[in-house]
Amino acid sequence: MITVTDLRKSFQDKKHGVIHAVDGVSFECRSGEIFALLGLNGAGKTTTLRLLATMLRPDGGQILIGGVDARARPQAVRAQIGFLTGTTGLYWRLTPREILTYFGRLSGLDRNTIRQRSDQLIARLGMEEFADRRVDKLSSGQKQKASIARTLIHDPPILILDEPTVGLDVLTSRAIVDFIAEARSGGKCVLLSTHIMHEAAKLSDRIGIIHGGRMRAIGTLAEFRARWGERDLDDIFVSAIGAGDGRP
Amino acid sequence: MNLRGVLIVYTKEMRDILRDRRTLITMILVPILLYPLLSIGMGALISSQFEKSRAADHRILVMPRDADVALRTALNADDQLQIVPADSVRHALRTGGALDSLFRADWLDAVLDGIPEDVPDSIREQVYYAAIASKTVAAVVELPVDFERRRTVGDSIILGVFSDETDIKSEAAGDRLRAWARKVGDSLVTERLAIEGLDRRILYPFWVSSYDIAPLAKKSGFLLAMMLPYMLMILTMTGGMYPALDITAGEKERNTLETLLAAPVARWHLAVGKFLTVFTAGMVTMLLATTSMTLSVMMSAVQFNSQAAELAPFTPTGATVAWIILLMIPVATLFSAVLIAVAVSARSYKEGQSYVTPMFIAVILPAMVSIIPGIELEWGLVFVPVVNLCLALKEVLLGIHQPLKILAVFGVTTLYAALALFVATRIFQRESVLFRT
Repeated sequence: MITVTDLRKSFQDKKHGVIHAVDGVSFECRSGEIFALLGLNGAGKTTTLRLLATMLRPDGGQILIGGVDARARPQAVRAQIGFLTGTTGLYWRLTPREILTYFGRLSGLDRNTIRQRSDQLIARLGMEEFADRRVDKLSSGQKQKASIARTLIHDPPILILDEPTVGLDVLTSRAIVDFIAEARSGGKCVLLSTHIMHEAAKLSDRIGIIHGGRMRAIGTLAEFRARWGERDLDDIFVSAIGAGDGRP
Repeated sequence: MNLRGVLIVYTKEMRDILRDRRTLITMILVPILLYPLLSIGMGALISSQFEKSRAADHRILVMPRDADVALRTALNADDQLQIVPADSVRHALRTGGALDSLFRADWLDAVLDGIPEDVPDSIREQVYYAAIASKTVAAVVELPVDFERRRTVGDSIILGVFSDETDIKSEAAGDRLRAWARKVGDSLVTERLAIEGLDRRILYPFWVSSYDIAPLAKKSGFLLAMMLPYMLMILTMTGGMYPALDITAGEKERNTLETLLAAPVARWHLAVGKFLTVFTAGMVTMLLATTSMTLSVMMSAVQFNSQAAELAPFTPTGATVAWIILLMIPVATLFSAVLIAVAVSARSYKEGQSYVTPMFIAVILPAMVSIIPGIELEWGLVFVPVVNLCLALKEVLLGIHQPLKILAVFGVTTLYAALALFVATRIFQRESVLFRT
């Protein structure tokens, strides 16, 4: 579903000059699979995901999403993805249902389909009670459910989740984790980024360890354990990035 | 060209901003209430204060102590002038602290008891000013001691009127004293002319009759022509400001921009949808302000200028209104595009506000040309943004017909607006702007 080859992106920084945020990254993520990009803050995870979601234009390399070249047809790519981050906000003055309608329409759905999909998602996520209440009146858990529904309104085959549980409390994170697992069993291709080792170990089918803008290792946890002879993903991670102090 | 995305974004943004209290206040309440409050309210307050100070009794100090009795009596006869004894003033100034502590007591006595000419001007003025500032009296009048002699020989009789023209009560007392002098002087003239056996007409070799032949529409539009362009510029900007900040920098601050950028909609559709929202807010503000101001001028009898009462009723023609709206469309476009471009560059709502504030100054200063008399729409000014529009609107309101220049202003502003919109959509597509952290 997602094929990334030799992806590159650099930024001009006033203090540090040119920063190679993503420096020749390649990987694949298939349908019904959860692929976790594991890395420290500043490793290049967010930039990679933003490149995949066509928010940023790559300097080099190729991104194919569902066979579509992201650089050539960014809108067609965006129609196939659901994008969510742990810090994603919602429009305070709108209700969850209005937000679903907005994003449904932006995705090109007709009003009937939007109504059906909204009703389904509201029922599935248990949002009946607050679907028509303004977002600024909702609890953080309710907001997160609304965010999930917003991500799924156009039933995208691919989910791109940037640090989806960062800053969330235990119960809300659990709702996200369940949602990710359910998406995989529904046959979706899930690409997520995280710096939390146990989350990557628990959730993902395969892990890509990214550091300093480069992919240092790709494989299943079992493969990593066999390769480095370590049991814990923390230890594996430190070995993979090849730095005792773990700094980029 | 499929503009569905633009429409979707526009519909959502309008719904969103119409639920924002700040936007509603600046877009609807301010333009409706600002002008009536400013002109009718303030005007009525000022004129009522003015009338009140005119109608009140004026407490005055008459100098010197032994001024001509006949004149003193004549002053006393004026029912609005109330003479305060010099001793009351002395007491008030000694105990009230109105005079500088270094001011010598014997100087105060010299002024109040002596002959005015014997005391230096600066000392006299200090005492008089202290008497007015301490509210003991509203004005001081110096009468001559030799009134009778001057009257007999037909010489000028010199009166000194001392007042504080920055104090409305003191100014009114001064005016009353001058009016009194005119009245008394007039009867003296009549008396002298009678002695010489001359007719009063000898004093008026010319009798000028003036006729103001400005058409009624121009006269009545004059006040509006000064204020409306200026207010429209500022209000169109104000009306668009909050929505512009809310739907760009606010969207970044609330972390909703990223998800919007991940939606399958073209960036320029987002930019144009948001621009149209700001444009609508600016136009609504502008239309409400125009309606409110026009109605205020039509209905107001009391204005800063008391002559305004004669100007009513003012009824703008359909053509005038059409011109105003036509001219304001490119202005609102220009302002909205610039607001969007500036606001989207900010990281947060607050940062956006600090970027937008200088824009107000950039609009307010050139917009003042409509208030300054004498500046007219010349070809050179047709190309100066804001200035051109203010002058064009002023001419439309005054009923001056220069359709070619006004159309040129429309064309030039449309061009600027198109350019600003193009730049705004480009800025909206820049990664460094959208993901500025």
